[in-house]
Amino acid sequence: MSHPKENHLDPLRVLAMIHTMLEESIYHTETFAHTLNVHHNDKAAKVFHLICEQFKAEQGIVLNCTLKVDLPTIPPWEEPYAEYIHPSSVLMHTNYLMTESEAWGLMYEMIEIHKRFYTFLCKENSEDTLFSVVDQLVNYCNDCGEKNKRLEAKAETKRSKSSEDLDIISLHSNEGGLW
Amino acid sequence: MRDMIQEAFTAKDYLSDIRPIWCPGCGHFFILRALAQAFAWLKLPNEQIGLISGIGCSSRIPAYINAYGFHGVHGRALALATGLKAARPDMHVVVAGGDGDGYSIGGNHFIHACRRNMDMTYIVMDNEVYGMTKGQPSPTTEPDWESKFAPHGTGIRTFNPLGVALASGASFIARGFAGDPNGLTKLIIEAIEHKGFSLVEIKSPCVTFRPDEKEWSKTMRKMNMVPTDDVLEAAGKIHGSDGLDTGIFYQATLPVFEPHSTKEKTVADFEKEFEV
Amino acid sequence: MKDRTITVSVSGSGGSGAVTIGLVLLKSIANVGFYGYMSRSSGPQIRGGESSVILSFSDHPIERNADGIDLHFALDWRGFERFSDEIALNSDSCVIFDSSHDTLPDMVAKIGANIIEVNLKEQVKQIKESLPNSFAIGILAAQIGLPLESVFKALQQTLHQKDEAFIKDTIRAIEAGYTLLEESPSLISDWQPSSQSRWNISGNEACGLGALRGGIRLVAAYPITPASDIVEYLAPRLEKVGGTVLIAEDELAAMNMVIGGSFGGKASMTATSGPGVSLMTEAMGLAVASETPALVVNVMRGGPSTGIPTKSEQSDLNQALFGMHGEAPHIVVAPLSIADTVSATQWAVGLAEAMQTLVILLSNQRLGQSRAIVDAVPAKTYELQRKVLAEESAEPYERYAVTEDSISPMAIPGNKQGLYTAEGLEHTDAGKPSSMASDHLQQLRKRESKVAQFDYKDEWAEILTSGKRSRAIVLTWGSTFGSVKESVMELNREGMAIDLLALRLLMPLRVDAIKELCEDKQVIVVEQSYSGQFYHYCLGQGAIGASSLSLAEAGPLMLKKSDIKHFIKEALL
Repeated sequence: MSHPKENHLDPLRVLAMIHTMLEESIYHTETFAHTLNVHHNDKAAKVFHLICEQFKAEQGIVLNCTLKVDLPTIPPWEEPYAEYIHPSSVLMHTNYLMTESEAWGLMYEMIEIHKRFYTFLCKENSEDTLFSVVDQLVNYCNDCGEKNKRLEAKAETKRSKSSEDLDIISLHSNEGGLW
Repeated sequence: MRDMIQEAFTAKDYLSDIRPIWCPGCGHFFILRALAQAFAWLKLPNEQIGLISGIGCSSRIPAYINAYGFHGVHGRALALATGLKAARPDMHVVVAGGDGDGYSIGGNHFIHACRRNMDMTYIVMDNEVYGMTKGQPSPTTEPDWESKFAPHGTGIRTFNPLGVALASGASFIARGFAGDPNGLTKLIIEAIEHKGFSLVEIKSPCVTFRPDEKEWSKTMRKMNMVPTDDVLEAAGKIHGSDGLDTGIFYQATLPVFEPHSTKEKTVADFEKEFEV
Repeated sequence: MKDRTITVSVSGSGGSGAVTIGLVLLKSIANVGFYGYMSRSSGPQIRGGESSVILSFSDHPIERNADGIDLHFALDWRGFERFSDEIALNSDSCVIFDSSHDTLPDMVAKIGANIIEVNLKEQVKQIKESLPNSFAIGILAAQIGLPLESVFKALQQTLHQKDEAFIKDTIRAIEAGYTLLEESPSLISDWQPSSQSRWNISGNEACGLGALRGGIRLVAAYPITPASDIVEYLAPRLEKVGGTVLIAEDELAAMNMVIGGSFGGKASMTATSGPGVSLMTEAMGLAVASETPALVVNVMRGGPSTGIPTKSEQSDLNQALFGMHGEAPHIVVAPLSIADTVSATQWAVGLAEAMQTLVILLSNQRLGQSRAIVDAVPAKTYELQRKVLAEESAEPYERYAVTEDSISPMAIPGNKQGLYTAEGLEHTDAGKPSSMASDHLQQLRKRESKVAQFDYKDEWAEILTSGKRSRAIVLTWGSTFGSVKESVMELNREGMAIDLLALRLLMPLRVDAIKELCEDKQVIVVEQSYSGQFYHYCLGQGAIGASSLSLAEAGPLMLKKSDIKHFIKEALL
């Protein structure tokens, strides 16, 4: 397995890895926001959706810096560094009955995964162009952090429904063309 | 500028615009994504993929993938896929389903698909429970797991899919974990690239009916070793594992069943046989 | 013979060679320009059980055994009681038997037939490599009036792999048998040979040939009596015309394999019998729901459950019509004779392909495992093809789009424009699963209407009119057609006026057309089932009136011509 430590002279490879990580985060938060909606947990869905938008903005920063170049294709099994955790792995703790506050908890964990990668790069990298992108990403995450804290403070912490309230089977039937 | 051909091979190009509605947290989401990633990495033309499934939560997967798909009846996906592969050897045939679909109602087809060793990949999304019907014990459920269907547990030992696959003649046998998307993608890629019948048994937590399975993210472990082609060694590894090891347990070059048809005759030639 | 038909039967215990005698005699009769039909029956033993053949010969095409037996040869009498109801000996019959190991059983003696004893053991002693059945061939050939050359030719056609010394001694044995009996009535002496090109074919082979003609490229099947011969015919041939035979692990697999192959763009079929159909039924519904062309051939045997695997009945009709859960409009076709099986099967493949649905072809053991000399069956052009999505199609693709003829173009995998998921769940026209009432209704209507409004042309039935103002009409289907047809023709020659309607298309039932043909006539429905399934079906659909009469008899014995004639006469008194 190759890590940026060996490749840190190749900023495009690193950017491609960031891009891949963000792709995964965007896909999964978007998909989970949708399924939370379908499972009538709009409050948690809204949190996922909001964070998804922030991930998209993060990706915007990466794409902005790479407009004129082709990012290399990173093999989908390749991990950026030894302690890397796939951002989707925290989503196994999603639950259709989760509270808004629990949703925030999970989203923080995802953001944390991104930040750990950026921090790692700040330490390991000496390349100027890459440094400036990572710097922008870290700043963006911090800005969002402030905003997110304010929103989270208002989040509900109590469950509105118990598992007995919902009929899982009915969720699997067609509802307005969804399935 | 990025070239258009390269652009065509990202996971997005293999995901349809129907979005999954599995329970939030379900392991199947990650398997779907890994499958799309694998297709993209292998640059398989969408129209050359046949994704076949039976019935169950996992069997909804063809609708979510942008390819030719068949959502058939419960337990028969492997048989349907066998017909497709025999008729269309040019297609990349991938079969997906759950533990109940594959190991219980479809058990006989599982054995014979392994035996036939046709060039196809079987992805089992094993959550050790019947999810769609609300939590009944499946062949991979532990004997003491209590449910409405079996209030004292089933009292029946679990099915060992990898062992059965090995005994039945499958030539690629692996276990993956939904919570390890990168490792899983690699396994699926290798399974599709393998010539012959490849089984990827994937532990996929059912967060709704088996919330205890979330623990798998702590207990599943990677077995980083070169796959063996020795049946005895593979049997030792499979039966020696507690079910939490992921990786390729067995990979061998074995005879692949492929129909050999020619066009040396016409129907008129056969009509002559009846003449008196 | 009054109707220029002679009927010869041969019976014997396992290995005595009764079936070989039948095959050689059938070929011999073909060699001299005549027609013949051979049905066979065997005990339940796998090997070595008693077996019998009944051959009917004529100078016109014949696809049934006459009611009575003119000539019977018993190689021995062991297990004969199993056949005594099929081999209907009477006082006019001539019975020849090998007296070297058995005496005449009482049950045969009391019939009062003309009995001739021959001691084949003595004969065999005189020719080194000879077998008793070779002498029997000679004896029977002389009785029937077959020239020896036609028999020798037939022998060579049958035994081409055996060594020359054996063939030489067999020929000597046949010659010896030919002159063994002083009296040889030479039953066929005044017949006119046919100049038609003729085939020697079994019903199951005919089905296989029809499948080849129809363009079948994938067969998936699990062994079952009496349908396996179809697969055994196709296995070495299909692979030489670009197709494949898959050996399925069970019938559930076979049916799903068929659907998979057809989804892949290749015309696909399976061949089975009642118990197999029971296992296939769920997936047959999938073929209907997913609109995947599929042909299921059911060579019916006696049921229910394991029933009578080696013998015939028409009792799977209800299963074919109504076996599936939900509402699953499909096609049921039945061949009327061995020769008709060729074209009926070809047509059935075409119907499945053209309408993208399930077609069940109902043959039976009698049709499938009998062999006949028939006029060569020319290939037909039905112009029934699958409607497929063009490779260059630019429209957004909707797999189950509602069209004028309710048949939507099917995308064949490999076509970039047609990616879709075939569905067993109810779906929208775009193929998206849906449980909405409106989508369900739309797709129910679509599936029903494509089958209902299809143009089946004249193929749907054989209609024989008396040429006069008919008082009655007989309705029948499948293998009973042969006997019913002869009965009706004879009655018409005797001065009655009766029409005959034999359905090839059983579902959808052509109710209006049947009503029109039956108008002002006494309707008589003839079939081989205990409960009168066909009669009740026609009645239930409103195709026939309440005054219609039913002649329904369970298998495995075939309906006798005399019984049919008697029933019709009684009905019209």
